[in-house]
Amino acid sequence: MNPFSGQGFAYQAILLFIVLIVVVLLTIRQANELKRISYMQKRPKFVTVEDCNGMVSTRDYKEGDFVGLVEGPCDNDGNLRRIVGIYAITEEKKKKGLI
Amino acid sequence: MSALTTLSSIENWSYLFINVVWVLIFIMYLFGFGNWIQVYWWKADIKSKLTVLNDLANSAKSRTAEYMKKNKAKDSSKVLDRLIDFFAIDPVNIEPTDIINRMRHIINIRESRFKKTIEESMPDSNERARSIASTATEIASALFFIYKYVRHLLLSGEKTKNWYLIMYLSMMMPQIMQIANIYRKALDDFLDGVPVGDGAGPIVALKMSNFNKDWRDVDEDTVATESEYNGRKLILVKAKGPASTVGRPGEATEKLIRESIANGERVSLLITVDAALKFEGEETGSIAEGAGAAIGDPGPEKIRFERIATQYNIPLRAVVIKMGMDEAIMGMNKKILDGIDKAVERVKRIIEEESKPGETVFIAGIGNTAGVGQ
Repeated sequence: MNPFSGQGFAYQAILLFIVLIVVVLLTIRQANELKRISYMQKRPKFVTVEDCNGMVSTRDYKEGDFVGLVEGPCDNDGNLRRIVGIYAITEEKKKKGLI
Repeated sequence: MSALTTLSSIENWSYLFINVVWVLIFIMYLFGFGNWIQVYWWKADIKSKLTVLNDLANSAKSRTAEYMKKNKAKDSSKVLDRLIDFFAIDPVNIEPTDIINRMRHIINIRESRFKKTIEESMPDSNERARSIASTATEIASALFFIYKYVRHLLLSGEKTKNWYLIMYLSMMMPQIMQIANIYRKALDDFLDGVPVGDGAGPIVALKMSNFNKDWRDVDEDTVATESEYNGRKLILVKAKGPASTVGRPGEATEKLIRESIANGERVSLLITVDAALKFEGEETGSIAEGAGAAIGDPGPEKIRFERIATQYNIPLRAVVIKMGMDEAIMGMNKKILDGIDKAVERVKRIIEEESKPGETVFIAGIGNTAGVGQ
């Protein structure tokens, strides 16, 4: 049997090709990771929580809002509408793993 | 026949060449070629992430400069260049005598220098805008520090052929990138003027005051007010909002306790409320209580709480709202806001259990009061 057969050459070539593919895949993976960690994430939406005599409502946050800000009367009894909270609506990530 | 012989000859040479390559690779691995490839890979990884770090730092700087210009700043770029490299040197600690006073002195100088430089650059803008610019500058400064430090370690590793240093840095890079990303995102939240997770303590103080409007200045960037709960007199302390500041709650509380005692009041309880870092797996916004001063400063403020409580034998209690590091410096989320209500209930319960009607209770809401007024 000739050790320098065409079949042996093909196996060697396939092996080198697989190594090349693995290197390319690892490089792509690293590039994707960089893309993921780079600062390209969208800003969360902020919501302002208002209170008028115990009636709590929410609206979109606008510049100048702060917790404790009195926005003026909110009914005929002289009660005031006040900002009692501001929070970000964030997307929950699905947790992986057993715990 | 001749063509077949030529083909066979090419195959033989190719096969020989491939085998020689494998043998060479094997020999090179014996002499550290594998390690060289590994280090080369690590270095390439660090360098690519270093580019991202540089982008994060530069974008933080330009966003801050933009904000300052929008708020009528003069020479914002020059001011930022000067403040971004501003540093404070830790006091000598091999001689601990009086270290707290020395540390406080240095911290105060740093704070006032930052404040003054921003004030000089933004004379026509309000206090809130100036404090936000100051915090944004500190964040940009932190991002530049991270970038420069990583670059320093990489170049040192290359220069000294210290492969372990490069390996260690490469292993640490994911965590470093996470921290840098959090800082960068926090900068946008501060510039928007929204409350951050660390603002939970000041909101608790505000809620305990029933949103009264009689807050008075008691110390640098620190305010206090009086309230009443089930016959107890409450004295509430927080940083002065809605500017971005942590104030000096320890100094202010000490001063007010001395005043109360001089007025013949019986101070029976001192409660500090702050955000605390949770362990991974713990729920954000969950509440815990304990003994001691819940405050994360380097020492000068915390020691004030401990000293005054010890001097007058006042029980020093702590209530914390748990959150992750990212949640503490980024815009407040719903879980933390819900946690604040739970903290208020817990504080009320502690007051009922550990003080009597007619007594005075101090509550200090610790944390950055950005987006939290009074």
